[in-house]
Amino acid sequence: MDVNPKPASPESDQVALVQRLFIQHSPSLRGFVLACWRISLAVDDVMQEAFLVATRKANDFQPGSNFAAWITTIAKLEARTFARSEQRKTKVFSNEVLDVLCDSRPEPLHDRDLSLRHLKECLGRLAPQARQAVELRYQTGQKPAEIARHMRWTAEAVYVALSRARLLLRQCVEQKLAEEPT
Amino acid sequence: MNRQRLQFLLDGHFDQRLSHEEHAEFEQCLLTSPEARDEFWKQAEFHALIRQCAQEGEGAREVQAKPRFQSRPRRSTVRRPVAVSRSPVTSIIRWAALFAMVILVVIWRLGPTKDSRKAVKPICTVTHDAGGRWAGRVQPTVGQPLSAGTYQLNSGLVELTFARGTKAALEGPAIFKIIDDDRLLVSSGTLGAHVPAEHRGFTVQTSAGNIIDLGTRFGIAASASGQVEVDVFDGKVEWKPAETLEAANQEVAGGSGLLIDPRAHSVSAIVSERDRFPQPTRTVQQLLGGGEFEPGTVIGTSGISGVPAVWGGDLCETTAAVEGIRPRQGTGMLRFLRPDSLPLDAPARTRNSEQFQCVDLRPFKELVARGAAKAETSAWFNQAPRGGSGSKRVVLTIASFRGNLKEVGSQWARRQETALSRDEDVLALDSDLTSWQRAEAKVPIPPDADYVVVSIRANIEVSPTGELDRLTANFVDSVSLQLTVPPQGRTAPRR
Repeated sequence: MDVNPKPASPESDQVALVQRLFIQHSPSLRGFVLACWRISLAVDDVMQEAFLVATRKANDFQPGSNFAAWITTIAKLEARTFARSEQRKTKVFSNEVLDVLCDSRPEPLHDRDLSLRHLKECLGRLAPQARQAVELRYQTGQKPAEIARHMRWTAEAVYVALSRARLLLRQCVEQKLAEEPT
Repeated sequence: MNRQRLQFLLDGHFDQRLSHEEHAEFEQCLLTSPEARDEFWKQAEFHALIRQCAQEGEGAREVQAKPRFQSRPRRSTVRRPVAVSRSPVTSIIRWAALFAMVILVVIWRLGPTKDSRKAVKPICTVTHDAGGRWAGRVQPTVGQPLSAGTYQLNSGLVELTFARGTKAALEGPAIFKIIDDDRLLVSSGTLGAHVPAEHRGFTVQTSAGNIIDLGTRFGIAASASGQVEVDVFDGKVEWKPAETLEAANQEVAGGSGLLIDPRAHSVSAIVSERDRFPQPTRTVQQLLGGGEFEPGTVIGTSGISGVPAVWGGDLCETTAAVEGIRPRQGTGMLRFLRPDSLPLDAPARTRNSEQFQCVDLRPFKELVARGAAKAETSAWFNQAPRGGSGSKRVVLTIASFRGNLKEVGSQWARRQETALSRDEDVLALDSDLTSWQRAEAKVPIPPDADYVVVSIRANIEVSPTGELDRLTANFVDSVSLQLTVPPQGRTAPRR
């Protein structure tokens, strides 16, 4: 997918371009925020603020440059601002680690749509209990300890089930991508 | 660092289980190893992909009315449409959808404040909360409107009331989703619902299919394993099975139920058991007979009587508009005439003109059995003071008793000792003929109460020679009594 389409000179076109790219990148950007801060319930707030900042600064974005890096920097600052305002511990990484991670963040998957389609099929292959654990983890955002209570498992069993399920899903998706005609 | 150890740290990080030492090891690894950072991003991206897949799966199921996934309430979501085809037509549709989303987010961006952006249409209101503990930051309280979204009640009992009168009591742990005014999805937990006739068609969605109300009171228990129990207490519901069950629609009548296990493809008929489900507020309205005092209402004048739903007491009459006062509702109202049952021109010895009505509680024993029931009465009074010296005081009294209705006269006379519960409201009436003033009284109903008595009373001035004050006219209208039982948790374990 073309993530950095041709430049748009009028200011309104530039805003529209940034907003469109934001939408394209938002699933991956959410993943970045959730991977680096413990703010699952406030991730929408951070995303909204990042969207507003990106819109305000749309003219700063150079069409054709790396949008992922640009929006990651904005989201990082917004998440930091949010984390500072929180009483509880939401910060996961030191600033040093966070900066190194952000600098190394790759472009989002170019075949994300295809991966998503394959993932849906692969989810159907999981055992019912494993699938339920995955649904509880990724849809309702429950922590493994909550899932354990819900499913009447031990927390350790949930960790193992989730780890195995993710491995199976990754292998399944990779295999399907490899089988795609080029 | 070997790959296995890195994977352990990555899993631990994403599942938030790393110890302090392990986290320090993980950070050091990310700082020093480009391969570790590369793997971190790959897995972070894959976590995001699973999350997106799960949440989009929920949306698709919702459209198809085949619920399974649940999600937390979301304030906003910006999602990318999923491409399922590369054909030109679908490509155009994709870009059109994308354009529409951009328009939507621009509208959202133009909202004046952050808070107003989050305002969404309330679907129902929390009307009872007994120790409700919710997952997440938001802890809904009584009176708080809830909008569409998924909610997780960890413990306690709450009642939701929908705009068209449906009441749903939910007992934690429960995960449910408010879809719209007419639909609720229960992923897990127990629910008891009362759907009034005007909200017929209210639907509860479960993993075993949809339960559609046909005017009733019912309970639903959904387990995390997918098993669903539907118990109907009154009226009937229609069960529309999930497609995977390949079963026909089925009506379930009061007193019966179904135990559905989608995984085993089994459906069993059962006898409904009310105690296994939380119960929403139950209200029995208009327990009094003739409280509107419309023409033709029987008004006994032989003192308090043990006949339920019939007024009895001192000399009073129903009347249309008179003395400049119009009935509050309808075409009739009650006028107090004398403090006894003698002819109008006879001398009077007392001052209180009073009417009573008894209500037999024995038909409602099941409702009052747990001791949480309350009886509430109200009445509207008015007065036409044409210069007389009449008292402006009126009284509404309610009391509950144990015993035989035939003994109501003696019980009432000694009510200070015999009443199980008692309350009264004394009003000082104003001189405005157009304003009706409301009195109200409320008593708890003990489980052993057999009946309640409602009394309406006006003071009539009597001269030392026994002459009645005929210049003051006292009226009452719209007398009502209702029995209310607050929501109750289940008292028996789930099946």
